[in-house]
Amino acid sequence: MQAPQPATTFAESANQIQLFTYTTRAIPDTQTLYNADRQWARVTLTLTTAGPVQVGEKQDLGNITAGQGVSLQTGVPVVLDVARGNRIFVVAGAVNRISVVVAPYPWLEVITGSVMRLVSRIVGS
Amino acid sequence: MSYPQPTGSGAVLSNALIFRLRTELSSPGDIYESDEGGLALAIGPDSDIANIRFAYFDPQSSTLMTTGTFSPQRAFVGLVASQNTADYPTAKRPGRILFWADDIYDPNYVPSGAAPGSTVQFIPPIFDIVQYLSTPTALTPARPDKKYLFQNYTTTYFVVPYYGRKYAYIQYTNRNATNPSTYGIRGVNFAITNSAGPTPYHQETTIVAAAAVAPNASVTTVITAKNQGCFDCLVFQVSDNPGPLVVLMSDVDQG
Repeated sequence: MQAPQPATTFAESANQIQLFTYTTRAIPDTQTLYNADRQWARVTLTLTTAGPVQVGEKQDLGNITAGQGVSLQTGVPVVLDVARGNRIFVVAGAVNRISVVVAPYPWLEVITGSVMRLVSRIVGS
Repeated sequence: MSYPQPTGSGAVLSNALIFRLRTELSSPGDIYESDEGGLALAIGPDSDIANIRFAYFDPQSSTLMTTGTFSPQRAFVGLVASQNTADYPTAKRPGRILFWADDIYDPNYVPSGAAPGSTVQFIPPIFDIVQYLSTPTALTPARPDKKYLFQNYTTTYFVVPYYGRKYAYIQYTNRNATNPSTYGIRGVNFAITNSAGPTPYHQETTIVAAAAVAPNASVTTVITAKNQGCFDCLVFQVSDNPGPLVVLMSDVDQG
C-alpha cells in the first residue's frame, strides 16, 4: 500500500499568515500600515530601527509628538487585535523598518457571524 | 567624501543595523549629516579624529539646535531623532543630525623652518562614526591601535594624525649603507589660523631634534601623554634616503 503523500494544497488565503516589513517614509503625513478590511486579525508590530514612530487607529495622527498614537520601542513587539473594517496608521519622522506579522482570526469571524445570526433570530421572533 | 554621501536612510533600506560614515577629512570645515535617528553614537574603529561634534533639532532649545561631543572615551547613548519633518525656522532647512570634527585639522600646514623646496606629505585623517539604528549590545569606543609603515620616500616631512592618542612607538632605521640621513620628530597642535599665510599659531614641540643618523643605525622613540604630551599630529622630518619608519600608536597610555 502506498504511503500517503504530503499535502500539496496551501491554506485558504483568508487563513494565511502574513509577514512583511513595512518601511515608513520621512513625510509629515499619516501612512496606512495595515488594512483589516477582510477579517479580524492579531497584528504584531516590531520596530527594528531607532524611530521615533507612532502608530494608532486614527486616520490623521498629526505629527510625531502629537500623542495621537502610541510609540513603538525598538525591538519591543506590540500586539494589536484588529477588528474587521479597522486600519492601523503610522507616522514617522524618518525612514524606519517595522516588522509586521498578521495572524488572521477566521474562527472569530465565524463566531461573530453565528452570534449575529442568533441575535437577528431572537430579535425577529 | 564620495558623492553622493551615504545616508542613514539608505542604511535602513538595506537592512543594516548601523549607519557608518567613514571618509577622509579633506578640510577642517567638513560637515556631514544623517537623515536617520540612532540609539547611540560612537567613534568608528578607523577614526583618526578623536572628538566629534554632533547637532540635532531640539524644540526645547532657543536656537532649535542642541550639540554634543562623543569620543573614544565617551560614546553618546540615547535616542537622537533626525526630525526630518521639522524645519529650522529661518532657513527652512529640514531637521538633520549633523556631524563635524571637533579637532582642528590644517591641510595647509607647513612645518616651521622648512627649507624652500621641501615637500610635506599628509596622511589625511579618517573621519569615522557609527550610528546605531538598533539597540547596541555593547559599546567599546576605544580605537584599535594604528600602525603606519613608510619605506622609500622622496618627501621631506610626513604629517601623521595623532588626535587623542596617548602612546606611540616609533622606530627609524637608515638603510643607506654609505650616507647618513636626517631624521627628527615634532608634535604639533593646530590652531585656527589664516590658511593663506604663515602659521605662527600652531604649536610645535620638538620630540627628537632633527639630526644625522648613521648608516644602518636605528632611532627608537616612545611617546607618552605623560612625558611628551598630547598632539594633533606627529611630524617626521626625513631625508630622501631609503629607511623604514614604523609608527605604532595607541589610545592606551602604555607608559
